[in-house]
Amino acid sequence: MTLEEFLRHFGQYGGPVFVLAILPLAGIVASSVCPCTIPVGIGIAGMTSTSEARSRKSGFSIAAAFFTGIVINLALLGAVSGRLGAILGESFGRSWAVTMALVSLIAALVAFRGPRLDIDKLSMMRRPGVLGAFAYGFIFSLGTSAAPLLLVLTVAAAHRTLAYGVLLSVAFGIGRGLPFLLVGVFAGSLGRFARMQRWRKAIQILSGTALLFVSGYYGWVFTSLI
Amino acid sequence: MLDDKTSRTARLRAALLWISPVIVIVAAIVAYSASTSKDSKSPNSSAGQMQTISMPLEGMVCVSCAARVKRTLKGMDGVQDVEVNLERREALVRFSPDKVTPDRMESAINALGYKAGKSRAVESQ
Repeated sequence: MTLEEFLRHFGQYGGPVFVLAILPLAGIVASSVCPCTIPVGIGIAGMTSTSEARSRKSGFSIAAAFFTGIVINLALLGAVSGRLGAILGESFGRSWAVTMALVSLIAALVAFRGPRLDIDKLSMMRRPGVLGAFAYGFIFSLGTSAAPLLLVLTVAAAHRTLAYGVLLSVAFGIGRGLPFLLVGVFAGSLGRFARMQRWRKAIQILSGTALLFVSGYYGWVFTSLI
Repeated sequence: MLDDKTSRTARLRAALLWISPVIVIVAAIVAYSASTSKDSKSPNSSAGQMQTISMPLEGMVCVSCAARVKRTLKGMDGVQDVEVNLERREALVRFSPDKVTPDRMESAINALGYKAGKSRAVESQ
C-alpha cells in the first residue's frame, strides 16, 4: 500500500481528530515503503550498539535523540509547510545525499575509533554522541519526510490552521521515527553483550561497517541524481 | 606476547580507519563514472526527434525514491534526461520516441513498486 492509497482510504472518514489519530500510522506506512529505512535503520543499530558497548543507557539516549530529531524537524517543517517545495527539488536532494553520506562516514569512523579511546575520552564523547544523533535524525528527516508531509498536509487541508498543521506534523513524525526508536532499543540491548571484552571489538567493527554501508548507500543516491 | 597482540590489533584498526573512507570514495567514483558513461550512451547526438513527457508518480517518499526512479529511467535506451520532482510527484522525461515508449517507461517504474500514471506530452522538438 502506498502512502497516497493509505491517506485516500482513511482520510475520507471523520474529522480533524480522526485524521490526527491515524497520522502516526501514516508515518509507519511511510517508513515501511521508504527505501532509506533499511540502510538508516542499520546505521542507527550501529550507532546505538557502539554507544551501548561504551556505557549503560547511552544506547537508548542515542536512539531517542535520533527519534527526537525527526519529530522536531517535522514540527518545524509543518510550521513552514508553504515553503516545503524549496527542499523537494533534485539540487537539494543531491546536497542532502552528500551530507548524509558524510555524516554516516564520520559516524563509521567514530565507531571504528571507539576501541582505541580510553574511558575519559569516551565519557567526553557521550554528550556530542547524543547531539550528533539528534542532528542525524534532523538531517535525515529533511530528505525523507518533507514529501510525505506535504501530502499529509494536503489531505488535511480542509481543517488547516498553523497549530493544527504542526500537530499533524508531530503525529506523523512520531510514526515516522518509531521504527528507528524500536531498532535502536533492540540494538542497544544486543550492544550490552558488547561490554564483554571479547564481543566488544567484533560489534564495534560490525557497527562501523554498517555505518560505512549507509555512507556508500547515500553516495549511490547522490550519483543517481546527477 | 600480549603487547604484540595488542599492537597488531591496533595496527589492524588503524588500517581499517584509513581503508574505509578510501573504499567509499572509490565506490562513489565508480558509480559516478558508470552514470556518466551511461549518459554518453544516451542519444544526445541522435538525429531523431526528441519528446518530453510529464509522468505522474505515486508512492515516492524520499530523495532515495527519486534517485531510484531517475536511475531506472536514465538507464533505458533512448532516454536522454530525467528530472524527478517530489513536490509535484512527477518525472519530466526527455526521450527519443523511436527508441523507447512511455508505456515501457511506465512499466519499468511500476516494476520498482511505484505507480506511474498516464503520461502527457510537454513539448516536442
